[in-house]
Amino acid sequence: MDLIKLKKGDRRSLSRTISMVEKGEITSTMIKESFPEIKSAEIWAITGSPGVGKSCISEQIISNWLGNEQKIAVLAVDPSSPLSGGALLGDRIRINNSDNSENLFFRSLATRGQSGAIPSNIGVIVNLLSALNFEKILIETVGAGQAEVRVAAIAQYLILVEAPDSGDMLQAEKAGLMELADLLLVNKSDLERAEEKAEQLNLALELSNNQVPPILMVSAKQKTGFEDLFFEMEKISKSEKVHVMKSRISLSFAWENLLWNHKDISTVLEKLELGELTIDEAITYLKKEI
Amino acid sequence: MDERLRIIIAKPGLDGHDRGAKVVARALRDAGHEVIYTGLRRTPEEIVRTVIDEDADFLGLSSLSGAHNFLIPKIVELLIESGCTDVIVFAGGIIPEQDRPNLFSKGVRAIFGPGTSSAQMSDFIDSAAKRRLESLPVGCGEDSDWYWN
Repeated sequence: MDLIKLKKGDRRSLSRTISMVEKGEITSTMIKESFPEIKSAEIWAITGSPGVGKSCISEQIISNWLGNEQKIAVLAVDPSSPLSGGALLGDRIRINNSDNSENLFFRSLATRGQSGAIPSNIGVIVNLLSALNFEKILIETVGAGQAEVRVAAIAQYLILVEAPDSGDMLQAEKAGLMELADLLLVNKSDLERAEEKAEQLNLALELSNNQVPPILMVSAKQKTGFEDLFFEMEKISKSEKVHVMKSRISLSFAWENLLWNHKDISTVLEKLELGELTIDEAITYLKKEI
Repeated sequence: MDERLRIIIAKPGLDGHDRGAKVVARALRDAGHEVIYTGLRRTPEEIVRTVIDEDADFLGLSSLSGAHNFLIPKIVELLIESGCTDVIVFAGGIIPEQDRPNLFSKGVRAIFGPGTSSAQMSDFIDSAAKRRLESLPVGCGEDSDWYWN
């Protein structure tokens, strides 16, 4: 970690440092020590099932932020192959403004062996970017399912994207990620049944005790509805809000990180595969060292 | 060194054909690397910015439009200017034999034409990565006449 270059805003030092974080060579503690007066960036996450249009919506959000002359970082996550360990990181294809502004730092990340929608070290990367005075950070997750709530531990604000015809009424009734979203977007509003989808989401959320987040209709294809989205985002970022669930998720996410970054994790996994250890024995062993 | 390399596959210029680039991206993914595809019609400046932000080990440039003699040296020049002398550059697409020596002399370390197998590509990636591991010059701005053939 070359602090002098990093503080000067050298892009290559930043991207190198992120690679080191990905490999587990730099921890949050090290960042805290190097940057004692960490500023807090505004951290947004955009999530939703595969194909609902997360990248196309990100493109619009990035354009809007760039128009305000802000220093932005985007972390676009795609899955690693469980077979080869490789990954095809393709978010730049749809985010056409990913590479043409001095004010935008855009990094593609692979999940690297994690089962979830974000890599385990992403929190450290976010801390680093905040320390380097990025004003806004956007995390685009892997196309994620209903149970993928860990992103809420990292981001302050969560946008959940849905599309018409993505399941019936009962899907909207199912709990999970939806309850944590600060904003719900129904993309592809140019398609039939988009309004019906928005209605279903509204109904499902109204029945719970929590406050219903704004549900907006956008069409990334026709570029409609985005003025409303930007307006709501601005409003949300200025409001005080506390997620009751958040500390719980943060804790479990941090716990999981400890597990996957454990120095003996690969040996333990190997022994489990060979049947030399039972799951209970493995847990006891790992607990001792954490 | 981590075996997993970060490789960018880019389409410079006005060339709109990317079947080949996508097949290469897929093959390198299956070989266990993290591959970032830029999409079509990127300028040399945009490609260099992508290389920097993504901390790429390799940059693969696909060109079928005939502009390789201009675009590829331009990209290498900008990489060197930005201090990315260690990034390993290779090219593919329609690049005639007579144009190749010049590109090699500019720091391109492999050129793949139609009919290349993914095994050949992997062989190049492995050979180049090995050179880097042994601290032999192989980056686009490092002085060497080595290229894969």
